[in-house]
Amino acid sequence: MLEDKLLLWKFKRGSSGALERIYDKYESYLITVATGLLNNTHAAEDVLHDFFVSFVKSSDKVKLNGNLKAYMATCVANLALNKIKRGKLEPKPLDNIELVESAVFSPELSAIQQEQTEMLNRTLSQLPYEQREVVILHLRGNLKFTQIAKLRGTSVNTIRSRYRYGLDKLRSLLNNEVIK
Amino acid sequence: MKSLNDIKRIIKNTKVKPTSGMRSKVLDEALKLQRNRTQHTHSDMDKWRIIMTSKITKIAAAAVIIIGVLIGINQFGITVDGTSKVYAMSDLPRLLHSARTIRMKGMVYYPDRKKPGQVIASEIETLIDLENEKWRNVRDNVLMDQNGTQLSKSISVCDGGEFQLHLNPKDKTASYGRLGSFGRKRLCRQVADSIMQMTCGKPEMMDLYEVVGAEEIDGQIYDIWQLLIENDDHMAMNVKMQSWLSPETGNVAQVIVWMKPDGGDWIKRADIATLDINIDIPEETFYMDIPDGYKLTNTKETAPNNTIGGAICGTGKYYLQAHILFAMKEGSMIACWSCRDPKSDVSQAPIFDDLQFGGNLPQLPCVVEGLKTSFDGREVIYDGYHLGHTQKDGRFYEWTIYFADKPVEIRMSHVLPFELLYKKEGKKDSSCRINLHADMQIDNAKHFDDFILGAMAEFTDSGEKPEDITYQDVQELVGVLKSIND
Repeated sequence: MLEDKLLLWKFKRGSSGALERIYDKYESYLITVATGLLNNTHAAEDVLHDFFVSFVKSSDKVKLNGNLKAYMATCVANLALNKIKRGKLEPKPLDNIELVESAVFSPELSAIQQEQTEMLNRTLSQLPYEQREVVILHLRGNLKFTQIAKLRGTSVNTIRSRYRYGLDKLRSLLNNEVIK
Repeated sequence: MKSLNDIKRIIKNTKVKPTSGMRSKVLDEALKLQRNRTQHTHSDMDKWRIIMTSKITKIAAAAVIIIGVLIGINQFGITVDGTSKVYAMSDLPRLLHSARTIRMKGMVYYPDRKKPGQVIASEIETLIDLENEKWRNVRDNVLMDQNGTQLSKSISVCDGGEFQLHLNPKDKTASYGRLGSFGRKRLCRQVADSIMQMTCGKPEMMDLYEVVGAEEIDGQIYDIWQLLIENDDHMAMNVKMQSWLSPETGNVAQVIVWMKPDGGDWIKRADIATLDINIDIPEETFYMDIPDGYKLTNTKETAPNNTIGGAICGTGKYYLQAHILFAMKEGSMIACWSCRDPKSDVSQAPIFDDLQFGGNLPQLPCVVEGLKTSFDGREVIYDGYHLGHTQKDGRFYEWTIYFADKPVEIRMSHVLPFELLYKKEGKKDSSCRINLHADMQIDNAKHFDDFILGAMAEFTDSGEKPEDITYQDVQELVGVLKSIND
């Protein structure tokens, strides 16, 4: 938390070292969130590109009341939604996804886990965007429901409902797929 | 069948690996954009240069500067309309700090251990050229033990160069001490501070003064200003200081200091009869000639460098050393410390890689994570944040800023001892008790540059001051730390 405040302070004063450090620190997190929202690696990279350009351009106006990570996640979520609204995005198979847990498994179990992860991501792309967004921002982005509600200008209860419906649908889709 | 928990876990633990070209696509462009924005800001300076080459705007700028000077002159006793300023005690610290030269002469009275109630008088005299960092200081070294109170005169002279000469009139010996640029600035400041403390106390005490009378001396009227400190838990004795200050000229005719224990009588402890500011001091006052009959005990080549030593303590296997401590005006403290294993010649360089300004401290065998002191009946803990490090003769020195949510009052930061709180090999350890007193208070950017960066230069092989640490950086870091704690 303190490091982020210092980084932001240095960044606002034009420090390229601070910008690099912010990028390196949150690159993986942001691309994970963006890819989860868009299910398209190239589109996710575009969103990150747009975010950092805008971040630099408005560096003197950035005021952080919360934490930097949540701030960046909400910016990325807005850019992702704009991208969705502007044009249809075809979900593309993601070949750069990995499950963090795989390191502790044997190669056989890792392969099974990897397959399940890919199946889950295909299923995620079938959710309505509103539900997918809440699931991704809450579980991968670590945003609280209150933060997501504020981002979307809606009530916390609505966000909770979208989350619940989204997970239920995921379970239903996944289990149907398994049965098939 | 997949459970909800399984689904949540998989979603949560899924990470996306950035593609190989992403960093280049995203970050490089952002950095380029940032650089262009920074250059554009610097080009605003060109506009200033354009303004200053134009005759009309030069005159306008000069007018602004003249007005500023007039306002400045007002602070030194002359108002714009020609009437005189009235000097008060609150003006004295500024007059002393901004003086070109000062001469102080008087007597200090020490208790005579062998004859209770009696005193032994000691003459003191200081002549200092603050502009050129030269001084001549005459004091008594005082020893009070079961044999009584013994005084032995000591004279120290600096001609503005790299050395100080010490003279001992009792055994007629002379010796050199090596100062260096920082050491000279530091000692010069300490001499000036001692004059301040002897004649009016610390600047923060000025509000405690009040006028208790007036007296005419040699045809001039002097207000008698009194400072009274009684029943203060932080002071061992009660103190009364009186200064005879001319409201018209700001001259000080006399300063008298009394002290008394609780329930006791006031006893005169100091009497300063001369305090002259901005006088011409003959150059030969600061000559470092060896007087006739004195024996020189060393040479400039063999002169010791006692500029920055510091308390050292062995914590079993390691040497932990605290070199110097500064008190910042807003309450934080800056310290230099080091820790090494004397039996190991492994370089500590990797430990200092990737440290961030305002970030974590280097993971040396012992890490001084904090400072502790007591004030107003409470314990005050300061937490440490990395500022920078220096290297000299193969040794590494850590410079840390220590911040407390509610620091001690500025006027006490010089007086109180600060204990080092450290961990040894990751665990809290207190086998080594090191207490430091603040060497001086840092009031502004110039002090910071002269004394803190100057000290850092002393601990650097190149002798150069670091360029990546500034007073403004430190002030803004403190601002961030304060906002986090608010």
